[in-house]
Amino acid sequence: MLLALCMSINIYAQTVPVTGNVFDETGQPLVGAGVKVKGGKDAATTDVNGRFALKVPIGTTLTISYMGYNSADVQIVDIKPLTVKLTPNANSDLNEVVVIGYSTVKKATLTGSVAQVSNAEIETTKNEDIVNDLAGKLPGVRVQQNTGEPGAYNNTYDIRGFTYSGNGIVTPPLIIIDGVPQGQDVMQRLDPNDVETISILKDASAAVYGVQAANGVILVTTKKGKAGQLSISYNVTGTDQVVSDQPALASAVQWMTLTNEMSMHNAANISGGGVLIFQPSLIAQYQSGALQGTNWTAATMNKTAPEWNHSITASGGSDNIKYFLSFGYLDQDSFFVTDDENYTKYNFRSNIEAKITKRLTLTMQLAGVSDLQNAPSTGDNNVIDPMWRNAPINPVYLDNNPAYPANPGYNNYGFNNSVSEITPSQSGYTANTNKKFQGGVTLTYDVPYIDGLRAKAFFNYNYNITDNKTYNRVYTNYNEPTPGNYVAIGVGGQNGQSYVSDYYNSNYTSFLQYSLNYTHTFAKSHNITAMVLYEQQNSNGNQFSGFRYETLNSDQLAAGSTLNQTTTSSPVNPQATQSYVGTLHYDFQSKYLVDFTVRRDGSSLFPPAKQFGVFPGVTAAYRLSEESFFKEFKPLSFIDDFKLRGSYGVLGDASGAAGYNYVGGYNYPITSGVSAEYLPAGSVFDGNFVNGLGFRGLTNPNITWYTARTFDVGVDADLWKGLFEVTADYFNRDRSGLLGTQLLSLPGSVGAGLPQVNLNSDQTRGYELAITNNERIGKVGLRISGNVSYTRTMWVSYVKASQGSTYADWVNNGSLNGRYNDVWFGYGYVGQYQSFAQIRGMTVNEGGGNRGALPGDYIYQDWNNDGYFDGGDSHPIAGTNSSSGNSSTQPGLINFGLSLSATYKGFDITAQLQGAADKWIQLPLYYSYPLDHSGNTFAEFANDWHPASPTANPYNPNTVWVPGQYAYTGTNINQSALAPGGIVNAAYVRLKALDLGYTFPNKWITNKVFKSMRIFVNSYNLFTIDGKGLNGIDPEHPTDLLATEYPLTHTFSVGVNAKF
Amino acid sequence: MKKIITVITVLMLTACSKSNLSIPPVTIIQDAQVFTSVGGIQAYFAGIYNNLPIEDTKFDLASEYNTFSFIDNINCMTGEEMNKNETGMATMSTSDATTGHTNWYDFYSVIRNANYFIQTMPQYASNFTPAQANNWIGEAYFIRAFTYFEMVKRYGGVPLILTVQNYPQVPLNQLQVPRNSEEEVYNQIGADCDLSYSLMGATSENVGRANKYVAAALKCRAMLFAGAIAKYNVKNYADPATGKRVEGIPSADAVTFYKASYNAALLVQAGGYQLNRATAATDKVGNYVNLFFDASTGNKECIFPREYSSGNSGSSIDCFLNPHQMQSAIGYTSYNDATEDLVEMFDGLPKNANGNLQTTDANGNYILYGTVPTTTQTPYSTLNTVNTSPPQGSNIVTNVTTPTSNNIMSNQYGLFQNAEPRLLASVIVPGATFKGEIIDLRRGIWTGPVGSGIPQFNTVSTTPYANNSNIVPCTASDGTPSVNIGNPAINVPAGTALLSGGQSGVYGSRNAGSISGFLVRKYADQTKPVSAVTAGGSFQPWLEIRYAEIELSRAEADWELNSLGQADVNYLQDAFTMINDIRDRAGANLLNSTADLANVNVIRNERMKELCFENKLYWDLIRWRTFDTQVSNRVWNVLNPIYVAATGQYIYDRRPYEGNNKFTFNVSSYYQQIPSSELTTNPKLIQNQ
Repeated sequence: MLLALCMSINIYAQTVPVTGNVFDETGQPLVGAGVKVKGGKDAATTDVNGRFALKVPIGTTLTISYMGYNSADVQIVDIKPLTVKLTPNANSDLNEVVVIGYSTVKKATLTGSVAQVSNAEIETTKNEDIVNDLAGKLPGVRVQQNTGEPGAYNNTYDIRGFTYSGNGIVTPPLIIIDGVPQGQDVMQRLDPNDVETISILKDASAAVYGVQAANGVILVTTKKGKAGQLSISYNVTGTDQVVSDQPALASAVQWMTLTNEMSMHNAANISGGGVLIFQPSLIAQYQSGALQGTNWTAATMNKTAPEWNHSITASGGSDNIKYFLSFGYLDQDSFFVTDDENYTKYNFRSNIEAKITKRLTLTMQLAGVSDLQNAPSTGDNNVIDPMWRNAPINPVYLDNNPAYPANPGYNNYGFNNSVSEITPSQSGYTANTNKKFQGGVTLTYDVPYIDGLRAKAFFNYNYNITDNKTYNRVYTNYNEPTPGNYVAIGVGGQNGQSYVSDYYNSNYTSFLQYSLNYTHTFAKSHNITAMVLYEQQNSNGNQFSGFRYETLNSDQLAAGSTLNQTTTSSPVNPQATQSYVGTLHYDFQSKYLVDFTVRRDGSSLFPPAKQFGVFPGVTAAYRLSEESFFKEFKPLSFIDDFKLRGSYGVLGDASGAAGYNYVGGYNYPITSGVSAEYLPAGSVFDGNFVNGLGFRGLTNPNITWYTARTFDVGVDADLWKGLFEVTADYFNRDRSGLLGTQLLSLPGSVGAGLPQVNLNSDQTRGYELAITNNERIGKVGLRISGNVSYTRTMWVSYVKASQGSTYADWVNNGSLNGRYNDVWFGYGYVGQYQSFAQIRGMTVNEGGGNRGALPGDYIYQDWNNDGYFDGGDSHPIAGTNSSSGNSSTQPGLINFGLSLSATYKGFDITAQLQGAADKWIQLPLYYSYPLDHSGNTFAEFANDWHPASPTANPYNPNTVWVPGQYAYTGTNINQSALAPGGIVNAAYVRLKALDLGYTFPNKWITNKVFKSMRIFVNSYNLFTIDGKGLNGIDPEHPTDLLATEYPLTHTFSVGVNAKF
Repeated sequence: MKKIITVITVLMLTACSKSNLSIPPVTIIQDAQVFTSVGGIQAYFAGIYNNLPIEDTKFDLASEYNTFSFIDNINCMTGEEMNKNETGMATMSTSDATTGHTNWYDFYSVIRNANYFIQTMPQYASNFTPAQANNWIGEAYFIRAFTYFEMVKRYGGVPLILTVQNYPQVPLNQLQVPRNSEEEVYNQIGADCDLSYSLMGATSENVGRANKYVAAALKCRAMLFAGAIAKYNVKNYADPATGKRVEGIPSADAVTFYKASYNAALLVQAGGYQLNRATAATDKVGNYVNLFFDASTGNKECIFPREYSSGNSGSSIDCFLNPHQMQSAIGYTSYNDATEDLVEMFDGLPKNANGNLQTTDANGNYILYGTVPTTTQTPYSTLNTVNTSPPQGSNIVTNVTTPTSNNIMSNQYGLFQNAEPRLLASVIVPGATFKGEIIDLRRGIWTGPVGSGIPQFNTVSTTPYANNSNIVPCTASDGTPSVNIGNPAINVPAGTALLSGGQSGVYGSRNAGSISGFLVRKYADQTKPVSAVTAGGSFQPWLEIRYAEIELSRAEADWELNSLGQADVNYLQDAFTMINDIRDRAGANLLNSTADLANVNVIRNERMKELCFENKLYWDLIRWRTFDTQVSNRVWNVLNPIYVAATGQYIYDRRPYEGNNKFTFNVSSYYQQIPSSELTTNPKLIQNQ
């Protein structure tokens, strides 16, 4: 009634000009907010300053709305300018500021395929490497941790699988930290407490970064100060690391039993077969406990290791000066019992923004990280490898006397003592240090007289120092051929001598950028943002290493012998790039949006005429939900926002281009493809080594980068006021000009290699889907966010010499254009022989007429049905991200993540699940050939087919067999088959992170010292569900180095976050 | 404040002006920097000599040149050595085609770099003296000849590329060059060697590089090979498109080639080269051992060495030759063991009527070698710095004590007391001393009675010690699961316990230790401590060409010329002089007269004894075309020393290797297959048949 009255009055009321400004919760103007007469037709949109103007009668109620914010109704009471502050809609992310190339936008008006995580989401995972913190959180971002080695930062990650496709060339995405291109080693060492957001440019939105962006861009933005009182935050986390994936080793009894089996199995061999190596009476002594075997894992590795993280940040400022300061410290121990390996890292950051004049702002960014990794002198592989292989009947120390470390190899095989390998006083040590500094200064100037025009100059300097020292010491292991008679064996060093080697690398990159930015709204609804930008980058460095033998018992290079000392240096070629960038954003009422970018990139790597390339891109979006017909259509009212996106861009990639391929002449000195043991880098003349020239052969004057054309369509939808958010994308990337050599054509008698030419092309396609559910049920806040992505790559054209048959071409070349290059060729698996009768009835010749086959042996598939199992039976059996076979270091073709979080009063809990499907790995040697070189093996291999009687002749058809999971020990297996010990399914789901926190209510904090306090417990990699065939290998752990890399960890942390 | 801003702005703007994309790479240099200094030329040659296809201690059948592995040793193909890996050994004849070796390309890569030098040096000659420029051009011709010889001995006729070919400047079809005839390639090698001889100086610029006599020595080697092909090859295969005979040389040309070889040998002799007799007067063994470790110009026998140096270039030969009792941390030991067949070719050994080692007496009982031990002998404990097997199984004697008598060791040596010094310098025989230790090699211990003699074991059986209760072998060959394998220790009556296989004998499932009863000594560095035996840790030089080879080649050319009716020189007398020079230095029995040279095998066998383990005999068997008859399907003999517990003496059991390994060499394998990828890229190439 009252409303009707108002309206009737208003009809006759005089209209007046009304102006107003709309701000968000932080006081920033909201651009493009809708201002509408309630119940009427007049409407306006705010301009870049958040300002609107309307002519309405006094008393009119205006509804002011902005995507992601709660609408506000304001009644006009006079003609004074209105100030409206909108509060964000708690459920919606649409108001989130998303960082894109050289700019930021609100999520609602984003036109590209960009995913972003905020600090709060990053921090729910606690890992030393910030990249691991991203696992599972972003659709299309695939992260796989390779080891938990302290200070190793060993993981593989990519965007949409772009990194791996191609000729084995692996190029990580471009990493930009606060506007500066950085190496992944810098990003990996970031303190998560410093990071505001990380956003990922996946489609043509990356085109603004041109030649480096073909594999996507990771944009990291660090925290900046905010005006206001000083706020200090202190975080401390104590962590217990637990080994995630060390397989159980065979006990002495198991090992001796299997060794006997292997010997019985090998009866047909020339010598040493067909006999028991260990008499049952001896085994019985171990069984009864009269003799004790050695558990080498327990002797070498603790089950847990501590880790401490401290971080303190200070932030605050006034309108004229704002600052963010932070300092962090990480101390991580390893599992090795001697703590021979550990890692410490210090980092600091200072972001200061000063308003010098009303129009001029100066920003200074300084950041640094200094770390030290201590490690065994020859690497973790050389600890875990012998740990696995040392004979369990041999002791760690002779007669338990630590002065006499035992030679643990069985049968005279020279395995090292794994405990000696982690004892610096015996085997020496490695100390790797990094110091990385970054300093940047920005001047921003709001140009007078032209509203919205801003000029910016930015200079940044990076300086990195790496200093890696190895002291490899000759030490002594002992044999005890007769009791009390210790025989010394020298181990380690090089040529029987201890040595120190020191590698030193320093490099710098200077980066300079000028830009002009213009923002304006025309005719109230045409919003334009334009930018022109120039940037250049220069880098240079120096690298050398020194090597001296140590004749004294010293670990100092200076104390080493000058005899046979060497200095090696791989000169670093200085490089430079220049880029010109232009961007133009246009939108109409935030309804039709389009972004154009163009970038002209130049690189010193290419011949003068080929240095520059132009890379354009366009991203566009149509917010269907802004159309009045959409809004007025009741059945769709549950859809708050509905946006269609599309993008197309041309990007470049210079990686893999052997630099200076257009230059002939000689490489001097030669650094690649040479080594002292194989082809030396020169010749010895008059007893002295003389470096030789490397002959460069033929040149390609036309070499240039390859180009990637990327296409993406997607939809973003926001339903039921943020209850559900849906993002779905389809993408396609076509690359051409991939580097290759025309092996097909040139006779070997020319005697020179063909240069790389831009020859091949491929195509990567995939899908992504992300769904988020935000809900509040009573006092419980819930958020469920899931994502899944799928990517595959195929050759479009691939030039390679014919292999002689179409089948051979198909298998070996991938040259049949249109074949997926991420196909793993191998052999099918039928099962295990169950009896001699089955072997006799076997129609397929599996090799040697099956004469050597025994029950329990693996039967491989005669895929081509020719009656023989042989090389011709190779066919696609699995998917892989590598065109070269072993995909163990790479994620699966399907990757997914799911995060669940809930809050209740002061409690919060987050669970992050992550996993991969269509992921396969090839098991390494130790998992395929138990007892290789008479070494120890894993306990599970005791579950093998074997004769019931240890002395029975296995080849006797009357022998009674005990079935098992594995073939009889000593069976040769095919590592390329989808069979036990070969290629196995490594699909997995793991609880990557579980975070449970409690924030004390403010009323408890009465002493005014704290502003707030949160305590939390966190677990990383808490549990994993994966396939049995993995034999205890962590599905993320790479198997290419025999899986003897340092294991992954799962951790338990307790921490406090206090704000002062 | 404004000043500061101005300064900052100016600084940032000036930083911009420095930008330039034309940055020359610092790691790439050009001709003008190379061909203008002696150092540049030296670097050029240093980049060629390391790729020069020399079959040194880094040569292996599976991986060929510049490899770490020495396992698939080429000498195991000839009966010089045997190898635990033998059944799995790659055969040279097929490896190129099947495993995709890049040798073909690598050879031509060296040839290209030599051709480029020959073409480019004259443009820069003014920077040097004419003698320098000529010397280097001659050196490039030598390198080309050396490389073509490596090719022709494998493939027969190959395309002769004598200028640098560039692509795409030269169209593809012109780069597809057909094979020249085998004879043309040999003629080119001869011509290049002649040019090299005339251009180069008498001394090498550096040790490790060529001089005119090195070129002559190469010519002597290559022309002898060509002569043998002309005389002994029976196959005639010509390219149907060009008519060129890619396999074989007309027999009429044999005389020409043998004479060219003979004349080249005379040039080398005139260069002052001679056999090394530095300490021959007092110590023939030591003299022979040491000559391989001296690459200096003082060693007049060393014509063309390749050297190695720590940290930059090393082979792994000591790892593979090391006796098992000196096993180093890397684990490998005695991979290549000398065969009994080679050993019994040498003089100074007791032999029976068949020329085989005399191991049995007239009654068919084993002869007991060595003396019965007395109680006053050197203590055994000097041998304790060794790596022995850990105790295995439950049937062992747990309290192994050190034997008190050194006779247990020295008696092993019984058969070899009077052996030819050259044998003892080339082969480690049981009981020989190496690196200051007696090498302890046994196959087992005879615990039975000696009384009426120990009858010979079954010489046919591959498990000769099976079910013989009188013997405790190391590594059971009887197949019964009741005894230990490995190296059981046995109480011998003297009150001591003795390992049945010794410390370097064959035992264990790894086949550690010698499998033949012998080890290789030539090139094994006896000064290297066990701890320094590492992969890539051997730096003794390789004598690719030494004067003994030249004398043997000359003797062979002499014999062949004589047999072909040539009488312009008293060739047989010349051969007699050459062989006796070799034998005198070796400490072998001298020839009495030229009548002893009736059979060419006298000269060939001398070559086998003198050049064994030097990666040469494989190619000799190829050019003599005796590979298929002499080696194919042959099981080589071993000599198993067995300790006789009752008397402390030794018996020796000579028999075919128990592993029974052998391989087949077909006549068609005399020419290697050209890699199939080359046939694809060059349709004018035809494959060998």
